[in-house]
Amino acid sequence: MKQLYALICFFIVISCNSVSYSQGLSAGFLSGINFSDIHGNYCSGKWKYKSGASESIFIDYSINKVIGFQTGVNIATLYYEHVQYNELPRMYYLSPSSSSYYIPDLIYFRTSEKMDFTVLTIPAQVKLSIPSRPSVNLTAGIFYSFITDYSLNYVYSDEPSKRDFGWLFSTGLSYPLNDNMDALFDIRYMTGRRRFIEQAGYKHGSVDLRFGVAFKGFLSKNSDSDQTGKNDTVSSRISLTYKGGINISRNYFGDNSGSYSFYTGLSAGFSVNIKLAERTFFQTGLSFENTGYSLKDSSDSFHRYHSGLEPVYYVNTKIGTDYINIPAQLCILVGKPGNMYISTGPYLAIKLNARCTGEAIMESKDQGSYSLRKIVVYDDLNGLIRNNDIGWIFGGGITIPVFEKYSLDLGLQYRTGFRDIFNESFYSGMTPYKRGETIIRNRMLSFHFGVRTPVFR
Amino acid sequence: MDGLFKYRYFILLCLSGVIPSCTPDPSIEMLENYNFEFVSESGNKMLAGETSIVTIKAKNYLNRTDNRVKVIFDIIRGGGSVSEQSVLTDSSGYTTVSWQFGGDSLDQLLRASVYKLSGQYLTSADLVAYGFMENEWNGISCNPDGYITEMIADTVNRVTFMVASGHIYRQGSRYFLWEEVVDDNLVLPRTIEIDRNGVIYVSTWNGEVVKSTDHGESWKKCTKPYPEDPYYIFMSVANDNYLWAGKYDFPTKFSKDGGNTWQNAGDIISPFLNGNTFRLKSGALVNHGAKGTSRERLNISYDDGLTWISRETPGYSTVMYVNENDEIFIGTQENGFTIYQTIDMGATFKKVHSVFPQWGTTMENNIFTKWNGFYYIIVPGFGILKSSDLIHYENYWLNSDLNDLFIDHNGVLIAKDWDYKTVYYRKNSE
Repeated sequence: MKQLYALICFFIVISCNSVSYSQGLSAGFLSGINFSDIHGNYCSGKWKYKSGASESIFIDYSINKVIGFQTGVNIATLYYEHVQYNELPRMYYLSPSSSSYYIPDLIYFRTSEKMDFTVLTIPAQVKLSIPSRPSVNLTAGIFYSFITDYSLNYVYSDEPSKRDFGWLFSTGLSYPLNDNMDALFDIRYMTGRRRFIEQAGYKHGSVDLRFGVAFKGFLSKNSDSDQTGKNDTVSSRISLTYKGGINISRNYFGDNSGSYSFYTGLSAGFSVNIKLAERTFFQTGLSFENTGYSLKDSSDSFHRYHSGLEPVYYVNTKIGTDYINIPAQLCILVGKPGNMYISTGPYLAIKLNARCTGEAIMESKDQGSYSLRKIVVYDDLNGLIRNNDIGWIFGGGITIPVFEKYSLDLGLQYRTGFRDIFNESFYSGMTPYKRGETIIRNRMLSFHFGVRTPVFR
Repeated sequence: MDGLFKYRYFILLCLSGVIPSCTPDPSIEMLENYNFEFVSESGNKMLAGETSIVTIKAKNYLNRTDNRVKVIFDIIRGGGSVSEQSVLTDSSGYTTVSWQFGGDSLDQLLRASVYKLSGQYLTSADLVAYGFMENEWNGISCNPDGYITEMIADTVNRVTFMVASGHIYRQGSRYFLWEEVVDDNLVLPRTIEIDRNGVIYVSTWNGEVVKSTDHGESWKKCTKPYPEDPYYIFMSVANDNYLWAGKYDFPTKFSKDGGNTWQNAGDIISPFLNGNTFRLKSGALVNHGAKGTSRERLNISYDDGLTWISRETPGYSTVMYVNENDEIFIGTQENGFTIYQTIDMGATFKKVHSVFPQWGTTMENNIFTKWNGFYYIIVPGFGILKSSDLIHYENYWLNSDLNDLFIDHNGVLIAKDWDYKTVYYRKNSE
């Protein structure tokens, strides 16, 4: 902990004495909560999103209004809890007429695996700012972290690793409160790359929601007041669209596809539109997408149709995967007014989480016994689903100008992945074709509604 | 943005509570749980046509005060009948019906299909029983009789004992029911024999000889024939009540006084004894067997077993039987299984019958069995022959799976399968 305090003091001293530093230097703090998001090769039971504190101080060095670097120190407490399906052994039943014992009803309990870690993290990130109002900040980088404290209650004999490194990505908004201070809102996604329990294959991860303040006014007398955007002119080459919508996924085809049905999810994010020619734009961005499929049939598995002689469950589940989607599309305006467009291009989707939720009914008829169980299904499927997906997008839409600088964007998009989303290493490298199973690929129709805002020069 | 920033702690607090709880945890909830069982023990053995009282008990684990279900009984095998086909259990879950065993097969199977009172089918439970039929071979794989290795029957005192899985059993009230005989002296029984006076002898796996003079009520140890050796012996009782004992690498012995004293029987007598020593009316003793591969297997003694002469037998003989006329019959391996007769003490042999079994016999088997004027000859790998004079034969039951044959004091034939777990009972009508 002494190291931690030393680092914090170091950054405070830097912050307070940074007047002499370059105009692009700013510092601040972010404070908020993290939701644990452990990763690993599991496919059963639920890892709860448990909240913990997350505190950061940072310094930024901006080369210009768009590109910069960011580092700092972050301390967070990660709480992990895994809940599994469990059921007490059946208690011997004594007839009330033959015994005075009171035998309570059957009790079902859950066992959980609990761990918590206090993690000191040092990130190193590249920052991309889109100078709008509020301005959008995107960062990506690496981190190195130290476990300063931990406690655990799990079945493995391994001691957890005390060091970690990994990737982090964040997106956020900064809003100028005055010439020297910006209010910040930030969503950060961190994923460790080192197994902290070798036996289990667990890797650290979290999603942080943070608010904070960036101080920049005292760094220089000629502070970056232009970054507030007050005096900027609107760029005619770049625009920004904040958008959200509904996805309808139909991810299944091939054998047994009748057991599956549509899945409805949400999407939210933004896109950056860069003008290439009079009626041609390049469009990229970042969006959170929730895609998947539904399974409703008798099956031996909760997450895909599989049936032996007599399926164990009647399953009614939804299998959803969260992705961060990064498109790279060419967008062409059509029609005389130029407010309609068509777009196409590839995309890269980075998996955040995957889960199977719903209900299953298990009817058991053995010789002389009958039981009917309702199972509330929640299986994290991170180990089963590939970490990323690539594919192609086709889309189109219409923009409707509102007010002076803004416009509404209504669009329809169809996206199809190139590969089966399931990790074939779980099936000894056998493809779904060879296994005779349904092909599951991301295929999604999404309707979005967005607001296009100007970007300042 | 100012507002968002102003209320940031409130927002974070709300998110920290809402997000973790917005999805349910995995769980299992028992909605219904029943168990149904027959109170009667499965595997009940009775005679075909007899009636058994059958009680079924239903348990509703989630509502213990109401165990009522509807039960429909069906006869699946055996061809019997039940007194009521459709019944309701009482609130305690019990119901009782009468089940009359059928005569279609030994196996009797009663199925109780259980329904909720609403009519929803739940599951079924089966009750297996056995209905033994007269004049039929009833094959059954069960304990202990499936593992029978030796048997004696005392028709005078009407008792039958068998050795199975290292225990002695007495036949019970029915010919297919057996009760274990427990006595401190009966440690690891191996073989059982009976003499003409009804004295029962048991040899054990540790070389002891134990006898009962009161038809199996009490048992006492005889003098150990090979006191220096702790392992099993071969034992046989001849028709003159002499008790014979043999052991590899030891001289064969016999006892004239019911196992009190033992004397050597000479060097040429095989230790492998299998009911193969007979006293002829002339006073001579005949024995079958040889040490090694000698073909001189008919041994004759005119001095009460002290010295022996040996004569060659045909066809690699394996077993001998002497009838009441002192005619000697030899079972051989010639052409499968061939029976020879000699009436001149082995000077000449006459072939009387031959069959071709699927596999060869051994001398461990109880080949010749007589009941009610007829001989039943088991030929392992072939079946059972029947003869009234040991000269003329008929195929009584062709079954290549048979390995041994016994008969109880009521004349019930009990054949043993080569799988060492199946036994066949046949009770012929009086």
